[in-house]
Amino acid sequence: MKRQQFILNMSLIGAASLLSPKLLFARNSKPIRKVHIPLGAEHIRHGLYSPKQIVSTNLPSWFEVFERDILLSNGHSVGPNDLGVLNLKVNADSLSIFQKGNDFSILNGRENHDLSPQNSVKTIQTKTGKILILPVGKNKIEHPGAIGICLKGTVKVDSQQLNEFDCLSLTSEQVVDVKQNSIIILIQNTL
Amino acid sequence: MSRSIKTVIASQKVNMGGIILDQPLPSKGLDMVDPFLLIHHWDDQLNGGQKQQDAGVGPHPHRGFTPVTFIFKGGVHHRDSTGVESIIEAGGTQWMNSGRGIVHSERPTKELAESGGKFEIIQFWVNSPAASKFDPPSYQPLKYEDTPTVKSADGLVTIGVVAGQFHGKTGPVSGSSPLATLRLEASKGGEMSMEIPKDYNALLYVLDGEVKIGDKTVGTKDMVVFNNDGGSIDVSILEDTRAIILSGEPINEPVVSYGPFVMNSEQEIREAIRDYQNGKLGTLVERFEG
Repeated sequence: MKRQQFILNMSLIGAASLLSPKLLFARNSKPIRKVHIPLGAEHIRHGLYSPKQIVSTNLPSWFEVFERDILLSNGHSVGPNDLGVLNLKVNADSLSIFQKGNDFSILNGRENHDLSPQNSVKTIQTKTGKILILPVGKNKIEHPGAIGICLKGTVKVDSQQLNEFDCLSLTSEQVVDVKQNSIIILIQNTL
Repeated sequence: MSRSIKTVIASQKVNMGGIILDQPLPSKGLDMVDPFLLIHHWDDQLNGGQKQQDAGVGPHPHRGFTPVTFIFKGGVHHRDSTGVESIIEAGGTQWMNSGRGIVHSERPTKELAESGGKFEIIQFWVNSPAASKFDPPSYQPLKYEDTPTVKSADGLVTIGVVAGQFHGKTGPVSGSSPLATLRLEASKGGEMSMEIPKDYNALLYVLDGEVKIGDKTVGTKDMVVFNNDGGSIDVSILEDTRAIILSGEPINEPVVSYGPFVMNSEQEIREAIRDYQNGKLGTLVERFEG
């Protein structure tokens, strides 16, 4: 009886897959695997500043990400003006994201861009890529291959939750749900 | 007239990438003694059995100031992204102007890492004026015998003049701004009145020993910051003492310091971080024997 039920279930799934290619695609697509960007060190004045690259097969070759660092503003102990640093490379072009308190910004050329979410998608063009800052709420997006980095709060990509400093490589059309007081940036390769 | 004491600060222990150091500057309530930004005292007994590449401080960047290392025990092997490689032993000095950017490493010598022994250095940072922050990087090594000395009248206090002028002697190094940096070694009972220009800020840090300044007794790992109210620093040596005396004309510019960079604004710090990541401060690939 159990065997008959199993065969019936499998037949129904097969038929449904034929009727809905999207479901078939979802079943065959790679599971989303996130990569956490750990904190390297808190640096006193001098420090031993030398951010280490995170090596992961879940990240594409055009994208490099390095451990985060915190540079202590008074040079000896934690304080409100400490500077968080997250270094990225997009096709060998270095981009540095800075955190001061709850504020995030990115240095692109000589210009600092605020990374706070706006009412609509905000775009920053870099030498070899594009950075999108998604607004709070549900965003239906289709940027396969883009890298998403949650900088603050929590973000849901389809059913997967990203916490602070989790990143992942997006696959196909996905819903990115940005919670209140959260920040996610998407980085696209434009080469 | 002898200078009075502004404050005495006891060093605090800090952790620099696993290396435990004594740090009197910066400290709570005292960010700098313009133009001096940092003093690190690394006093260690190395156990040996290490490869040199696993000892000391590996490649890291600097921009905007001059890190200076006085070597007291053991030897320091310096390598940098301009291609310089140099070993300086006890009594010597490594004077490096990071200028617009350099990547360097500072490690105990191969022999010291492998066989163990005493290792003691002081590194202090001298800020560069804005006009000099983007000078080409440079490195000047000094051996013990390169450093002129001055003795007190009683012969019990010896001052090594590394940079600047002191009692008619001129140190071999010129800084980016007027200064005098000195090494003091003294025996119990010695006394000396050390002339320091009135407009220079000045501090004294005791590696070990005990001195009396005015009516205050200052001991091992204490830093004394002086008021600018006189033309000399007068010390009486209560116990055999080793110390450094740093004095310099204040630069009086805005200072923003984060990690290995010292600039005039936070924007310049951000650019330094990004430039380092882009390789614009140079790259250092260390080569080790064996």
